[in-house]
Amino acid sequence: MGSILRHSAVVALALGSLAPLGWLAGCSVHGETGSGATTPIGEAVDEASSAVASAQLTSDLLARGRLTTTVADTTLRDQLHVLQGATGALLTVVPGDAESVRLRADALRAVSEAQAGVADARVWVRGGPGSPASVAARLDESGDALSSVSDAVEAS
Amino acid sequence: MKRLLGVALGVLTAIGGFLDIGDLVTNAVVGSRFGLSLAWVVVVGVVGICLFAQMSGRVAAVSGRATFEIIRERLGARAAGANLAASFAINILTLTAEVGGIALALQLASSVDPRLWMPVAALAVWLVLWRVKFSIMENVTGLLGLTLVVFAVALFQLGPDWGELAQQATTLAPSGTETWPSYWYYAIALFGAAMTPYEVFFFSSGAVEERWTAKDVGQSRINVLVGFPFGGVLSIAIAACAAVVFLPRAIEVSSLSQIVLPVALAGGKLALAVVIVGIVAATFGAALETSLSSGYTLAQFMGWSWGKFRRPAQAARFHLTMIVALLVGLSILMTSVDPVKVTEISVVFSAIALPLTYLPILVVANDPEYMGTHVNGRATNALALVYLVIIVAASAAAIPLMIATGAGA
Repeated sequence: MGSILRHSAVVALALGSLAPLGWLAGCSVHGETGSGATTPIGEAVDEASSAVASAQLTSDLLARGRLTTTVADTTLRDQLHVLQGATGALLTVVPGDAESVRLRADALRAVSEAQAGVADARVWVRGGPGSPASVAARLDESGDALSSVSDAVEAS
Repeated sequence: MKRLLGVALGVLTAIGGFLDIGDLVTNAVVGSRFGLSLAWVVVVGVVGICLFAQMSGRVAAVSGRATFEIIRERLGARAAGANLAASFAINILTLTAEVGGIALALQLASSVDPRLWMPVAALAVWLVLWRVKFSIMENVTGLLGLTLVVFAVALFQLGPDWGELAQQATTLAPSGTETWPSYWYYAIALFGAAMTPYEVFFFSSGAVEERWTAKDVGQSRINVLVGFPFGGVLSIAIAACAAVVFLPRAIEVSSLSQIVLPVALAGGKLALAVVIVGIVAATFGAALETSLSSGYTLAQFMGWSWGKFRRPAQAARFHLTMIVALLVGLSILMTSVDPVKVTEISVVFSAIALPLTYLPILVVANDPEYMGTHVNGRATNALALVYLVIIVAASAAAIPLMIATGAGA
């Protein structure tokens, strides 16, 4: 039994030493070409849509007095980071055909609009100009724009 | 009466102490992406941690020695050294995630950047390790961690469609656009979060700290068999809250600030305050446990004097190890790495290292030289063997799935 234990420990250690490889694989940049480029575009748009939906929920909760300003501000800042990540992913995609180039341009425009919308929501949260209705309308617009791009990516 | 209170306190502490940043993040991420279709993994993980935690507690209570001391004696220095290297590395990663979790939770209460809170959190953890008695430390964080029951309360207040949740829980397949590799990757992450190795090292060394004897085996069994399953229920409640609020809105959880939103939606600012207290307590308690586990494993392997029942001057290298572990964790965090990402990685790496922790415990628990008449029964061994197969399968599948899914992306 002792020998089994020793061998198991060695095998598990060997597996463990491979783990960083898996981790690094997870850090790979979305840099695809050709028609395969629509997959990372779709993923980036989904990330951005998730961030906008989080921002919508956050501003709604704050407007209804169910959330503190501190938590709302932190959540919106976190979502801005998600949107930055989506922008970075889109910028590193290398589309191989005209259709993918157009989709990426649309996606970048929609994500950029969403960033501006979430940034404005954060201004309102911190006591700046804006109202719950204007913030909600802006975020709804951003969500709709992202949804259109997502549909177009799926259809391509 | 005193004994009954002791049992109640032990159970409550086990419930409150069960959850850590790994459980909080992984359950919320899984709930937002897969609904309750992976809730079965939490059940499997909780049964597993109950099985092996009570086994390691029994080993410590009967032999009077902690797990790692016996592992070294049983495996020899080289194999135990390999075990130590892997366990210590996972421990540091988990500690890093917990200290990051404290900082993120304090950010929710203060708006102060988490990188400013990280050194404060690490200092506070060290001060408690240095000055506070083991039992007080364990009970206070465990009881405060109980406030996370607010997730279960929130779930009821959200008024979910219970039929829909039940359907999700019984549909053991990925939903929507999710794929099978992602499903299994997160199944392993959840399993790793529930069966984190540090819990076993902490549990067995804690038994020695509290001077358990064979007479205490019954109480330890109650603590584990009642406390941990309730902790598992809270884990599922976190996933269910995410499934109710985030899944229909296609929100993917990527930050701690999102995890508290369902509670705020259900219970407003008061519930929000309670959940933030709970997260700080859970992560702080887990940071204490992982720091201690770092000290325990290294000191027990090297044969150094260890334990909080000794004055720091009498266990200087044990305390120095914890300080170094905290400093390493803090250094990692100060590189601006996202603590949530560290958490996601730490639970998967925990799953990879599971066989190293659990196989030796099973061997020792069957050794009459250490256990006398308290060796495992047949039913326990049969269940433990089933778990060993699951653990080895999860460990072997973790890296291929990590590569195939881009770490669950």
